[in-house]
Amino acid sequence: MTTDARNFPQAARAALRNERLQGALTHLKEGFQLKRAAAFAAYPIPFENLREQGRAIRDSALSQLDTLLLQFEAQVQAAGGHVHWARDAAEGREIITRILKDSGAKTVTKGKSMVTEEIELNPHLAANGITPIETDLGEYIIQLRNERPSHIVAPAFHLRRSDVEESFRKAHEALPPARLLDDRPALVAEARAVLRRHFEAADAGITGANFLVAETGTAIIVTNEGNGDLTRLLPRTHIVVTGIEKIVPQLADASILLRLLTRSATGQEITSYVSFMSGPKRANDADGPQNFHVVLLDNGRSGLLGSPAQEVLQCIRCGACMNHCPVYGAIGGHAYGATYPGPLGAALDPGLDGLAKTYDLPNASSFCGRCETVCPVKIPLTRIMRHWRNQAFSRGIPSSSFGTGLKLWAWVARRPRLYQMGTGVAARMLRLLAGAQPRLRSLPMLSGWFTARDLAKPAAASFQSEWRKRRGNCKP
Amino acid sequence: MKPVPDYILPAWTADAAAHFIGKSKASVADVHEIAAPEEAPEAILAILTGAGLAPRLHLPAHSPLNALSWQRAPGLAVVQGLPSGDDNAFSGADYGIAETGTLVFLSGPQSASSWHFRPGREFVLLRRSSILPRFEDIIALLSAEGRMPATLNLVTGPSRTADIEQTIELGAHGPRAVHILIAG
Repeated sequence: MTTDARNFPQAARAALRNERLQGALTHLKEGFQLKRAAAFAAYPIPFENLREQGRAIRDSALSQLDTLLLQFEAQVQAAGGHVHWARDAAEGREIITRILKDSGAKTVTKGKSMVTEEIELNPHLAANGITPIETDLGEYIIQLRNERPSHIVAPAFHLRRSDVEESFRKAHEALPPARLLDDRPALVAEARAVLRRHFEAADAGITGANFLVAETGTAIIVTNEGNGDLTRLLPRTHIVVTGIEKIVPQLADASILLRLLTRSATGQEITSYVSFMSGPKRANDADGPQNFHVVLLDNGRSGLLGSPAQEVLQCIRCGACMNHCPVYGAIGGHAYGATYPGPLGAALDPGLDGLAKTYDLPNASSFCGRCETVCPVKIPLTRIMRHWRNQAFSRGIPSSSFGTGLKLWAWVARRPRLYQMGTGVAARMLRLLAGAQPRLRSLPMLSGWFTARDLAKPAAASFQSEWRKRRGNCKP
Repeated sequence: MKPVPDYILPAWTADAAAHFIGKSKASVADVHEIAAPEEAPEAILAILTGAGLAPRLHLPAHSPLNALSWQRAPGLAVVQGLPSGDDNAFSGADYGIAETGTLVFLSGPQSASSWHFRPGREFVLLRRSSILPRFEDIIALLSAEGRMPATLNLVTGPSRTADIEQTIELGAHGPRAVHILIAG
């Protein structure tokens, strides 16, 4: 995705002032955090054991990625399917468009796929005369509003019921304007009816894949709505689009990860639907796609192998990290200006989109580490963010003046007498400005810092001076 | 397929069928136990009339379910062909998974995979002897077959979404209700 993560500071500030977004973000605790905690508390095996299994499976898969992908390809081909390798977003778009054009497809239904967001597929299809229709309810809603997903599991998380009603009334022009749409069941029923027509009319279906299984050439999708299955089963052609890192060796590995995924994402033991797709329909099958294509996207992933950021490729896209992140919880997903928000994005987006565009995302962290404690595959997220910060500094990103400023400070800080003199002067000035008040509410030229903070008035004497004064009374 | 690695798996004390029923109900499926598949027609009619619903049911063409004693439920109109979004539909599950109250459907000549996503209300016949403890047991059976079906669906309860204000609503695209008849 072309990011504007360079606007992150402004976008974050705007998000903090956005009252409707702030209202939506209050749902993170009830909607996600508590449900996840309850699910793992109810599970007979301790979370620490489970996530060590998950980490081991993902780590082992990454260490044999090439072998597994080739095995997967052979299995899919043996079943009569096709595998395509896309180096980057442009190649991914081109391959998918070509498959659709070759099959004469005009309308395409889509299951939820963050990878297709990453490669910005929908505008490209539209520009090539192919109409993509999102079928996941959250994705459908944001497609109507021309917005991007704000969360990898709940794309419409930032919206309210009234936003959905407004969008449906505007888009579903054929329906009676006087109809009632004032509650969620009515909205869901309307989406069900409208999208059912699209499912039946579609020439092709595109889904993502939560996991790929090398041993059997299987792609797995996990949904609660059933939209992914209607997307891929009704039309002649099914295209799976996913990242190369999603692969595991065996079905048994996927089974362990599925238990971690559903609990971590929505607090469910299992979703309503888990579907295992292993090629096109067999000759005598009652239904199923005649054409089965899997597009494997690299787009920077292989470049992360062997790097200090490799572990981010273990991600199973549960969203737990962003659900628990105080920064994401304060600003939501859009402010990040990149495909993947939250701690996942801070660790992954620099590898996919480059540091020049995304340098601020690893900085949007106090390293509290909550993300790491809930990650079901034990990705060392803060260590990876620190790696990106080091990279940015040593490469002079965003600008060498930033590095120069830090070096200047370091020069002073290494000279204790100079440092003490400078901070002593500053402390005396701040005390003068504060007067009788215990806190400063503003300072000239620093109003930005003060919009959300106060500064405590410095004490009359510094620790250093007090220590020098009283040192005589302390025996070592 | 290679042998299954030695992962830690959940265990429980109840027998597979009892555990299945508990988990299935928790997933908002409606579960009934019948003595034999022959009792299914009457059971389905009773459920529909009890809920004040039209006694009409879609059956998959060429399915062995067509041979059940439908004459014992004369009020029930049985139709062939794919159900639409407000219809009732009946099918047989290949297996059940006790761990999560999950139904397992394999694609085949007599079983359309899309069947389970089309209707408004799904009725499913599941033999008690087909209920296995975990998905790993299904994998073992598939290993013996030597290959995966083109599509394998795990279905647990009705379709649902929480995409509007993080509140669950049923019947997003798949069935709004699932009734499981456990026979045997």
